[in-house]
Amino acid sequence: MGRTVIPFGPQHPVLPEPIHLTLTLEDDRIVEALPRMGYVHRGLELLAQKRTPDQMVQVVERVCGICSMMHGMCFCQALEEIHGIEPPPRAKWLRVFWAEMHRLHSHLLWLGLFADALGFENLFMGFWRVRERIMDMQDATTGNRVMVSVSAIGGVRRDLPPDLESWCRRELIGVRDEVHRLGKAMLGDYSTAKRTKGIGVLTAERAHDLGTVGPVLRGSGVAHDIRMLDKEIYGALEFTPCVETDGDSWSRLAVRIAESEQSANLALGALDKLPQGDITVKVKGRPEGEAVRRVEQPRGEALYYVKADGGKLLDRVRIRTPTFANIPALLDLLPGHDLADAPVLVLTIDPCISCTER
Amino acid sequence: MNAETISLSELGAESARRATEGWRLVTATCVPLKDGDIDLIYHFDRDLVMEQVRLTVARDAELPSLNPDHPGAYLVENEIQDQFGLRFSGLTPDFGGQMFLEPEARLSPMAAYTVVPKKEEA
Repeated sequence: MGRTVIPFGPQHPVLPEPIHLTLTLEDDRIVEALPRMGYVHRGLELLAQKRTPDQMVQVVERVCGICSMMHGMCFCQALEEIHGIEPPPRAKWLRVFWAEMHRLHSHLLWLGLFADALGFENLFMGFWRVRERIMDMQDATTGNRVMVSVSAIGGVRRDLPPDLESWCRRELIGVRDEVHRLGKAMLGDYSTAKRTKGIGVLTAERAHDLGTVGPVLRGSGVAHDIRMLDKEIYGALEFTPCVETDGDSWSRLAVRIAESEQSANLALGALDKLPQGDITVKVKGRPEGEAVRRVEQPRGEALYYVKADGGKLLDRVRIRTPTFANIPALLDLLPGHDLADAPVLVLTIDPCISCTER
Repeated sequence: MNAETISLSELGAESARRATEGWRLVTATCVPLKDGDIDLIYHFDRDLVMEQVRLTVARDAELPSLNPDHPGAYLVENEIQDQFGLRFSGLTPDFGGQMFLEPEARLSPMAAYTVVPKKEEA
């Protein structure tokens, strides 16, 4: 049988991200998938050698728009470890509040795009309408809708205005209820099941071997979430990861819907437990040493490695983003499926090429 | 950050042992040193516990690919090939330093200097 090689992306009607795959087909069936990167690469790791640590906070927040706060948070945590300082409790809780808002709006963004890819334009608009409420909250509490820029080495740059707390609570409860309603509609739909159940099955063992992270890994039945390491905050919020066991596209969808509701609850919990006090500690001297930190971003585990030699600039900043870790799984999933399933399968890893091409 | 230091000859056995014991390769970090060598740090995770393995290699060293033991390793190894010019043997698929870079690129952007391989005789 003859083979056809087609380029998939970087511009594709169903993909918001410029991912580029070279797909080899036999008839309509994919037999091989290879990635091609560099289309939007920005060399941000190299920029670390030309910016001070404080300036780098602004840079890493721009690794990705959708999870910018978590990039800044992870970088700051690595620098705090090198400096040997600990942020005040209020700063830690505020970080969790904004981090969960980020997860929530990232998942809602993806849910809308996924609904659109399946042909549900109304559901797409529903998810994005709810997402706007999160953006409004971020705007009100930080001054920015997306790039909230609250991260600082030693704490956070902004405090939560007291007069907004009760409004945020009401909004989060409303968002949670809306997500529940829309998620139920999506998961209960016949067409969604036809397009996702049994499609792109990734077993727990294969997901582990390929280094998969985030909702993709948890959709394969592995209860792995970096938030479980944070006993102080997430332990107090009684956090347990959302897991599905079938490993197919439906499971990855169900995990993200469950996590959206959970994030609203976690953000509400963070507001309830928010202590009074300072939001930052003073950083003295220049960093010297190396540290590695991980955070659970909406797409999964992100890793920051930072090395400093006591000079004005950092020696090395290494960023391993979750989409980068999930690409091997995607390339493993595609062979054996029809070309028509490729957009849905690509979307189920929630690719962020901005992160990958940092 | 704690990291166990090993030699290049021990890397293959270390990788196999980690895979057998259920460790997941999180990623590898390439750190150019001031003397021209390169520190390569492999980050492994098992049940949310992370351990690092560090080895120092010359810039023109060829390392064994961890892909046979950790099937997702090829992506980060190809990235290191592109950006730092290190070479990995047994790497599948091997993009030959062109996963991020265009074919005409002859320099590794993250390396202080690049070892350009000789062109083979026609």
